[in-house]
Amino acid sequence: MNVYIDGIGLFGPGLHGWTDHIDLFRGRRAYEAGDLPAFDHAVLPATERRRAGKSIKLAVDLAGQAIRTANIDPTEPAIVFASTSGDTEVLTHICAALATEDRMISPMRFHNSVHNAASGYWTIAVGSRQPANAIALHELTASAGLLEAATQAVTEHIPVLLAIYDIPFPPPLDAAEPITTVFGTSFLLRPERSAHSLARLELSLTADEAALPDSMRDPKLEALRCGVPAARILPLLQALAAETPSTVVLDYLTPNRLRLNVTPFPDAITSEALS
Amino acid sequence: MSARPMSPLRLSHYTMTNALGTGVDATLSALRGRRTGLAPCDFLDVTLDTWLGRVANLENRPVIGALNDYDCRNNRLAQLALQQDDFEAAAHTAKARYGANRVAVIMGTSTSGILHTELAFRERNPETGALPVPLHYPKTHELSSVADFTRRYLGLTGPTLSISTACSSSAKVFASAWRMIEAGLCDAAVVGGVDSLCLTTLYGFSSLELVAPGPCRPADTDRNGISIGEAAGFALLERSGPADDQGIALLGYGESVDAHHMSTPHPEGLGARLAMQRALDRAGLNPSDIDYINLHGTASRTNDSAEDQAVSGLFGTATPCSSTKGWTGHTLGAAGITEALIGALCIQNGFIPGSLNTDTVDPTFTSAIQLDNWQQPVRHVLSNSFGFGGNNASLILGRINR
Repeated sequence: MNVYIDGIGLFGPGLHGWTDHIDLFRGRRAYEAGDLPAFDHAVLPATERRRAGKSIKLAVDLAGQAIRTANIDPTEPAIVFASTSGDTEVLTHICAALATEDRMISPMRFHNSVHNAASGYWTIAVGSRQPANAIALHELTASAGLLEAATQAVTEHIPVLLAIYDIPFPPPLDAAEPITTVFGTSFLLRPERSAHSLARLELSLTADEAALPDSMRDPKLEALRCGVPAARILPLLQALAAETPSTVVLDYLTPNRLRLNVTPFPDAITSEALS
Repeated sequence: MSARPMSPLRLSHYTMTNALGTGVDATLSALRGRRTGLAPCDFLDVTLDTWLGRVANLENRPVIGALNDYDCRNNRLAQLALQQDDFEAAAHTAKARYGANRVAVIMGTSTSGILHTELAFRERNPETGALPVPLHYPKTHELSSVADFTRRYLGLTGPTLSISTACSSSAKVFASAWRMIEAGLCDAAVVGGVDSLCLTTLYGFSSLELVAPGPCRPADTDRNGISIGEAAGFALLERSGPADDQGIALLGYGESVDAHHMSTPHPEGLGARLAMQRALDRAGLNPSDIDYINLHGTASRTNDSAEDQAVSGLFGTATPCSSTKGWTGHTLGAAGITEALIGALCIQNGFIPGSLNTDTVDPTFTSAIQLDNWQQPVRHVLSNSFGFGGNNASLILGRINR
């Protein structure tokens, strides 16, 4: 299954935007986490901007990055948003409120608690009526999201906007489900190569036991990869930053793994970096 | 985007469990006998003035044995449903035919096992605020816990996915299954939807003033909100069988969003209409080919009127429609598959269920809302599921050999 990556978005501690961090993924500097950048969610209308929680802002920021770098009309692609637990802060707040005497929860928090809240806000913001999926597969959410998005691009012959993102649980749920920090990435996938294509991605499932999941060369990026389900995608970013083709293996459900043959188009990356 | 025609996907086996009982015969017989599964709320210590479609005795049917860490109301409901209608045997036959690694598991749920966490919050340590240990969050509440439970219960290892798009979740599982089979990632798929009663949806819909004090009355002029239900449904999907196959198949699906509002549908149902049109395009059918539309029909003021406009705008005023939520309640993330399977029962048994609890159809409606059950041949059924975030999915089912 072949797809083309036309746009890439990135958000995490000390990470905002793909082109500014290609050198990091090429190993030319060490990762220093630093602060979380401010979310860029200006695309949301005023009401939605006021109502958006952290995971919605994160997803909207990531979606905007991929759309801009791919130079595509945001009403064109189908949407796949992947996150293990979505808005962990809203979930925690609701569960806490339901354990109180009056059990009152705010209507806004309730509608923000659905897993597809982020895609709802994004599609309202850009006026897209394309199919929107919201998926989860716990620690394998990144692989599952990539597989669902690529499958949709190939079988429906449509570009697909994929965002993969997680935010940590606040106490007390953080003890039961530790997610270390805020992290997300996004891709605009196309079934065919375009003038803006940055790389070709050949995806397959393999039950080959010798195909071990990749890790990150930078120890702090490796800690990020292990600490956040969405960051399990990082080895793909490492391969996309390279100037030569490589194979990346991501973990998937036993006995399968997701094998990605990545062929970067270095010229496209360079021209995009300069733009 | 104009959707391209698709190859049919056979519903080789299916089962459903909801407030009408366990297994398809319970639902079929209640539909025919016009017996509702709704009853005044008697769930936990909830004192809301509402009716529920509750599945009996889940409290006494824990998940035990190797999967006991998965024990929670949502997975209990999944387990109970999987035990009906020889579904496990059908899944094992598929496993033997294709290999466990070639059968996908794709599940839809809105709230997963959140009740488990809600109740744990009542047991917080008063000094530290800590939750009881172990909580088993990934196996009970995380959004793919029922997908993980199902694949382990059935011993399948193919591609697995959990879809959570509120009330369209388990309609969209059919679309993802078709795509995975089409892409060659698997040869067959177990799709399902499971959503169980919890405080989040009861108090959440109540906060939005969307919950009816009595049984819900879809399309009624005096409709005043939804009745929340719980349900599980599963289907085994395979490529079409032999040439003389008389089985039921998924013929088309359509997905869209409204791009309008988080909790209110587009007033003219533009997104809903787009989903239905895309389903027709994929099935290669015209609106006049549809014999029955199972409406989303929640009995909320805005959903029913928006859907009415979308349906009559696309199908005209003659295609019989009804909502079956007067029987099951709104089963949220399980509504998509529950109502698609009701559509399969209509085709197999040649009848159309008239909307239960609906006395007087809203006079502003222009679609053909049926109030009484009808016996008539049914070739093609369209089933609608719409959710928060303006997330829409429509499915078309029919006989494989038309």
